[in-house]
Amino acid sequence: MNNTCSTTTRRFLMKGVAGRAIEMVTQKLPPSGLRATILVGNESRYLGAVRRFMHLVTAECPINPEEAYVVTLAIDEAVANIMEHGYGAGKPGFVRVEVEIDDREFKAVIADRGTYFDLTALPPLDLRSHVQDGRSRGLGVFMIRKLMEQVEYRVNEDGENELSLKKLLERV
Amino acid sequence: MTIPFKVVATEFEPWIWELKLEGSIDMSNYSKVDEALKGVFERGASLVIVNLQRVQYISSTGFGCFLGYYNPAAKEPKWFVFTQVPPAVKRVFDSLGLGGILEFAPSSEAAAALLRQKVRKSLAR
Repeated sequence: MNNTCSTTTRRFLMKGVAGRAIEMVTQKLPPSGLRATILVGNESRYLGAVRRFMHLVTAECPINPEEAYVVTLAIDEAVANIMEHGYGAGKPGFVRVEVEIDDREFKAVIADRGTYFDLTALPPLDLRSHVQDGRSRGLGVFMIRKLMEQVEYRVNEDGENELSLKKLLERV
Repeated sequence: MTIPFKVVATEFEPWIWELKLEGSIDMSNYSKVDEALKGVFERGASLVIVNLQRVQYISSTGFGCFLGYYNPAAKEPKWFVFTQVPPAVKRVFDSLGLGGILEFAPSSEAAAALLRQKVRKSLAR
């Protein structure tokens, strides 16, 4: 990890969530990188906040728009998976997303305290037969594994489930 | 600029419907896309142009709305052609391998032509 040079905390209001602000903390990493964290509750309406967070972060980094879209999608899929399967609808819980982007690499850690679910242990999915069987769900994990170069899962020292993602970035 | 979510289904020409989507499609609103698709099929149509020109984001749940109906081997298959797909979304379609399974056209007119061609081929069998 690089040394940080400045830390900013920003709050943005969530549309449709009266009076609730989402807090994101960002740290500039020299020369042009950024580290940022967001914490959201277990409600699918917060997926929009996570994407907005990713938009704000990637807008400040040397990353092209198509790659920004890909890394946002991977994060969104991971968070949606936790909300749907790790906690389940209506159950209290949090999801913490930490991302770090520099001119070469995207790294993310997504942490939660829901049910243990090691998506790296799932067998590979055959997309063609999956689609031809008319199955519409179960693509999120496939997407994450396909779009990211490294996907790791562990339980951290604090007992949280932790999914780590990594992707090398194309030069802007 | 964030585009609010919207889904509008209109008859493009007899038997062909166009579903215009806007904004982001994810777990929180995919059921509205599914309802719109069901509405089209309940009218007896099975040929659908999916216009993604104003879509900013589509998650796996959003993709799933369409894949759930995709079954070319069915007795009465439902056909989709995606059009005006934003480059970032198309890149994901391609990265996942969906680019080789689903069909794409540059415009709604070209999508309709592709759908008519499919019907002709299907009737000729």
